[in-house]
Amino acid sequence: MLGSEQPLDLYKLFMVVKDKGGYDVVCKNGLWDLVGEEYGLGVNVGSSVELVYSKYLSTLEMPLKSVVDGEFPKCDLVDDRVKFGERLMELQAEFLLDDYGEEDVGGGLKSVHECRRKFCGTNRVKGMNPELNAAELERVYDYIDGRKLCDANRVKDANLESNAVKKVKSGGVVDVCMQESRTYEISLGKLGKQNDAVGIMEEFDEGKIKAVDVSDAVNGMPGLSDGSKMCDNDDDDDLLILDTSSVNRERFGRKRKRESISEMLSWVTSTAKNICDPVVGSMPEKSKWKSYGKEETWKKVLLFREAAFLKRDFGSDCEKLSWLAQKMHPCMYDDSLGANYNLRQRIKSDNGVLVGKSASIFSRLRRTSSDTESSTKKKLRDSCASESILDTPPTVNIPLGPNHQAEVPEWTGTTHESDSKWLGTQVWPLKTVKSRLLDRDSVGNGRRDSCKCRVQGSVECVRFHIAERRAKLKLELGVAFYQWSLDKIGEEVRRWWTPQEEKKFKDVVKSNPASLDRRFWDDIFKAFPKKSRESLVNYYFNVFLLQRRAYQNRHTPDNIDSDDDESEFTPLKGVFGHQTSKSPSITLLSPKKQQTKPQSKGR
Amino acid sequence: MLKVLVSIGAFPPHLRLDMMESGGNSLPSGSDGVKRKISYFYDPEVIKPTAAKDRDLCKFHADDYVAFLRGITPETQQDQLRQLKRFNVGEDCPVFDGLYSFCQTYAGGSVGGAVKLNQGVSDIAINWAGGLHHAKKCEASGFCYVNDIVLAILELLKMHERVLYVDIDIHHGDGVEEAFYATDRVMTVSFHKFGDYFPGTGDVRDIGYGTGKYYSLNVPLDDGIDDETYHSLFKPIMGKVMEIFKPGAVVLQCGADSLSGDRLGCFNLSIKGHAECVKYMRSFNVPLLLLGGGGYTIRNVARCWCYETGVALGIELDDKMPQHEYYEYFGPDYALHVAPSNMENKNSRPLLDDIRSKLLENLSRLQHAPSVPFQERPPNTELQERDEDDDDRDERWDPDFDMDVDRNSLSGRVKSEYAEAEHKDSESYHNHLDSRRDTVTTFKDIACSKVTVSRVDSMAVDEPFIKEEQDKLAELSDHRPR
Repeated sequence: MLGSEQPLDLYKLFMVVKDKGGYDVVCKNGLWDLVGEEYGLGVNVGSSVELVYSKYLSTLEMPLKSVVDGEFPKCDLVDDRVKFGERLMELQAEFLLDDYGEEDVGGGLKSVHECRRKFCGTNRVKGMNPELNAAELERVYDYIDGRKLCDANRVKDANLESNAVKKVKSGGVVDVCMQESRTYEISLGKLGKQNDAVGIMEEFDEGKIKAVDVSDAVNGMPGLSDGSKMCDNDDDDDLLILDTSSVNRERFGRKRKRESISEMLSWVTSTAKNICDPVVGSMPEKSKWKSYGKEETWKKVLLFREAAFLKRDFGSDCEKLSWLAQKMHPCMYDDSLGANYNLRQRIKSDNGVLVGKSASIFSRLRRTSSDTESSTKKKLRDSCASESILDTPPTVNIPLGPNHQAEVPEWTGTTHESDSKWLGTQVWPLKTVKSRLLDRDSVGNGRRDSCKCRVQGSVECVRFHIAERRAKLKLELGVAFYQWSLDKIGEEVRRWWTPQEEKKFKDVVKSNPASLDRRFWDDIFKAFPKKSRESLVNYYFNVFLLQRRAYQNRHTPDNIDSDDDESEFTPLKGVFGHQTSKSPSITLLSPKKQQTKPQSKGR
Repeated sequence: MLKVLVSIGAFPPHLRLDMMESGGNSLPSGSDGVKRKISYFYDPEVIKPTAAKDRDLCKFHADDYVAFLRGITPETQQDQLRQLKRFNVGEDCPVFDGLYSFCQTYAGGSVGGAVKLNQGVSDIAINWAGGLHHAKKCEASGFCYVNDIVLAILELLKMHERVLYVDIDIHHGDGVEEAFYATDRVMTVSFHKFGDYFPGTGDVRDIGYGTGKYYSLNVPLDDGIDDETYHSLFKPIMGKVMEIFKPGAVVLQCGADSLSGDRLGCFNLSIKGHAECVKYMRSFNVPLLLLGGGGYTIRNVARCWCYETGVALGIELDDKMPQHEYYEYFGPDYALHVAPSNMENKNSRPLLDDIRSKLLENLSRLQHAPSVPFQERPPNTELQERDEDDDDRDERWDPDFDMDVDRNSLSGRVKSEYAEAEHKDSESYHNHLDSRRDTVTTFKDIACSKVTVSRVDSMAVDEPFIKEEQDKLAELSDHRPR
């Protein structure tokens, strides 16, 4: 997690930071190193700790703080929670990946447990059903035991927490939420709830995830379904009570199933939530659920949580549901590029179980039955899609209202002149000088089949032809050549680098090989304090990577998957692009795949 | 490589034939190489766009959101956590140096392209830096901050009664769909991966709302779709859309993440298959705005948009890439095209057929829908005459008609219409019509397309795709360490 593949106990980290006075205080006073030390990571890890904290925990802190301060920034809070859920999701996904990599899944899952326990706490509170809660808690223990991850202290913590929570439950209805929040912060530090006088109600629902046997008729179906995000659009008038009860019923249903497959390890977590628009009036809506179960030879669980909220901006017919739970590029925010790159494929190829849920028990049951039917068919995906895509209401509503749609004026038949400023500045063709187009017939033509270079296709050959074409282009473009900064692309960028600097750059990259999931940019930025990030990145892509690719193209062409960016991050085997251009022996080699071979593609 | 754009020339005729015949529509060119050689002289312009100002962005976006984008910097973002969350900036949409000017520039490029089309200066305008289709009115999303597409469409709506938006990015074009979800003046059509995929919207059952009902089309697809399968949906659907909706201008978002081998995408389209969408939309001879979008395997993005620039200009580029500064990125084959992979196509034919027939059915409802604009025109004489013109023009867009008709007779027809129009209309409208006719005629008969390529800053036309992606990467790497 911190580059050392050491699992981090987020809960512990959170508490340490909290002791220090919270994120802001720690930031302001530069206490991150201290936090790292206190946590037990040793010295000088402040920045990494800060990164981790700000990435995963700062969101959590904020709503808690505002609850304590007595502020009720509703919308923001809701967003925070949504985000927090997403983070947990990401986090768990990361840990799951760890699992794939290692036989020993224990360490990596610790924090996940922590997170899940937090959610369990939430569920327990909201479930309004102590018995069920207890049962669930037991399952938590079972699970932990089963995984031999049990940490006695932790379990006690959880016990204490659940007791506290239960006590709170007996309190007054309105106060409950407030107190819950405080309780959470004191005991575990988790998302609080609030309920204000205006009648805003929010609800945490709980989602469940189960690792079940494939033989389970309902959940064991192979294939990850698309369209399983369930959202019932029919019951506009459902109120909180209904939601709660259906959740409870759902729980019972789940429980029964679990018992019937007692061999299986089951698991739960997740929250969904409702909000309603404070302006128009409260109309709580059900939540949306989406859970992915994941099975492997081991029982393994991945939780996906999706949160949704509904709004009523205007009009009475339309329900607006906006959901934020999916990330576009989860892999872009993770440090271990190699592993995460395959996240999507892994999830998919895993024949995970996807259980779509809705707060409405009716729609859930309907879904369940259709799932069951389809399990006998070849794929869940197909049947669901063909049955539901075209015939049932859509799962996600497009939000409507002045905050979402563009203002499109009625067409009056008259046209409006556009502001001529938009025409921009013509850069080419040049207005003053008539462009000299030297070789009109060559547009779209590829490279020539052969040239007079000593070794065709060698680095030097390529360089020569590039220089040739640059000169011609410069002539054609005139000043536009410089306006477009064409004089600053490719290996020309080396002009601004000394050989010493180039070597330093190379060494830094080399000392952070991708095989160790280390990213070299941080070190690069540190190593070249006087160079701007722009110029460093520029050098990397214009010179460094280019030269490395040149080498690969000629020496290990079979190892390059030209469609796979990952190859750019593979271990370098001690060979760098610089050597390509500087070593005379290399330039004597022709590429394995001769450029002169006739191309069949494209004809 | 740059010369591909900036010089004039012809292409080897033999390269073109295979792809051309595969469409329902023929490109405006003859079948013999000689004529084409003459035909494809063109006059491309490369424009440095005017940066969009606050008030320009606010034509779609909320004032406070724009103000936020203008003010935020990597240094100050810690102080504005609440705002960051509110506007969904920070994760998928990181804050980086120059964020606001980046937004201004790409938005200015797209709007500028739209204006070029409006003024009839260009028939096709390209802004590969644009196409950020996820951005919402008050919220960033999926690396999209400002929705240049919506802004460009709003600009096109000043001149055109109806504008069509087509999205072939692998991600659903949710921002644009949402912006025009309740209007019948913009039809949005998106082809995307659906199911457990960002952004989660794009259900085939999302069809629009209110007067905009049936004006949103969503084509959900699954992993591994290949060229043939893709176009078994794209062409019939887009053909029908053009026939029924009869847009005055088309905006095509060409996200390259639907290509085979994309780092985030999971389709299996070849560059030619992708570009075939451009070719097909171009063949209707309606003003066309080409925009970029996603694309995460950098060299393939460069390949794709380079090739599609060629398609826009009517030039088929040779597969053998000439040497240029970034040549080594394309080794060891140094070829323009990349073979699609052998991944499994998970799209089942029956399901696709269902989707297609469902969408075509929805489209056919438009023909008789009361909200079809022609029937609601204000009783203005000038406008009524306009109607007739529209109808006439519309016929020419019919794919089948277009294919069979003799080019010479068609051109005669265009000219005679133009002549008739001359004595009918008021001065201003006439002028407008004048320029339009010229454009269409030129396009059709001489096949001389003016193409405007909007550029961002100092990026060159071709190589810069790499550079641009670099910048994106740089931004990402800038933010990872924080």
